[in-house]
Amino acid sequence: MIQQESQTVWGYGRGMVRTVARVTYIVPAATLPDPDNPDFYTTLGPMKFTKLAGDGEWQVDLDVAGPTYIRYAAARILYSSNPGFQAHVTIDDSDPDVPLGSRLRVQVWDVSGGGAPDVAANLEDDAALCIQVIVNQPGEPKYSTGPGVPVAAPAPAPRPPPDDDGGTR
Amino acid sequence: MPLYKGKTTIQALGGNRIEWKAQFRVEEESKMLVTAPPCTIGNVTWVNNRPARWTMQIDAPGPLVLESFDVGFQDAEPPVARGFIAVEWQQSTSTLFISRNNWGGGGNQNLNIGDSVLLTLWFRNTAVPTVYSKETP
Repeated sequence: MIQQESQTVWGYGRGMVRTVARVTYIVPAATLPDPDNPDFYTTLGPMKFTKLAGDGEWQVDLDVAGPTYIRYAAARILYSSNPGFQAHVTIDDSDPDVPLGSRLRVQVWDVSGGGAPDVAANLEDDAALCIQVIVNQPGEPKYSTGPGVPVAAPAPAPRPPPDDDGGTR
Repeated sequence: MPLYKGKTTIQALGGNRIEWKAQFRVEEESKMLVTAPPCTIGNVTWVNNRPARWTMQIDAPGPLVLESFDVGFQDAEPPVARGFIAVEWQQSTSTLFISRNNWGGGGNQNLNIGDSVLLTLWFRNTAVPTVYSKETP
């Protein structure tokens, strides 16, 4: 077993961290749908979801500090009635004031158009957008073997014998 | 660039989740192998003796909070059809509805022999309190 005695965070892929979150759109009873009403969305997990003006367009801020190296990102849809929804995710580096790797941009699509171009679409009632991100976990590596093991300084050279005065004989 | 600096490992990993994985593989006609923690597979819709849609009820006590999920599809050969896996979650019964759908509509599309669906679920572990460094307003 690899990294059996390491911390979990090191054992998992040697310095990677996975974080997930979900936002669900629920229209309250006796209320008209309003995809732009933030009160209709419920968030689970450590990400900030912001619905942008375009249909199905989301900004997702990760709970990170400083530039963050993203190794994997995925956006999935939990559907409610129409299974033909898909989501695309990209790393959003458009704002110079936001450290790289801190923000994602997501576009939700309805791909059930029967050959027509896919259309950007808002979540249906009771559908959810799920995000998974795996990032580098910086810090001092702690490996049980390999490059993280400190190498002991070489032993000093042996002293000459006591009766050796260094002269020639 | 620390992520969740100063927190315990479980907090750094996003808090309090239980990761749950399942694989569904079509071994031969009318036979789909499931590798998963305890669950009940039901309502399999077979199209040409191959699965196109099924349900999976998680065997766990009480209501489950599904925080997120990821799904992958392993084709036995280079894909010739444009399809994807769609997932619906019914929290009241802890049941997932899984299907392969056509890109462009047209209903379910069956899996072929050798195809696999790789599913990861993250459930909230209610035994551990939730602490985030930033709160979502």
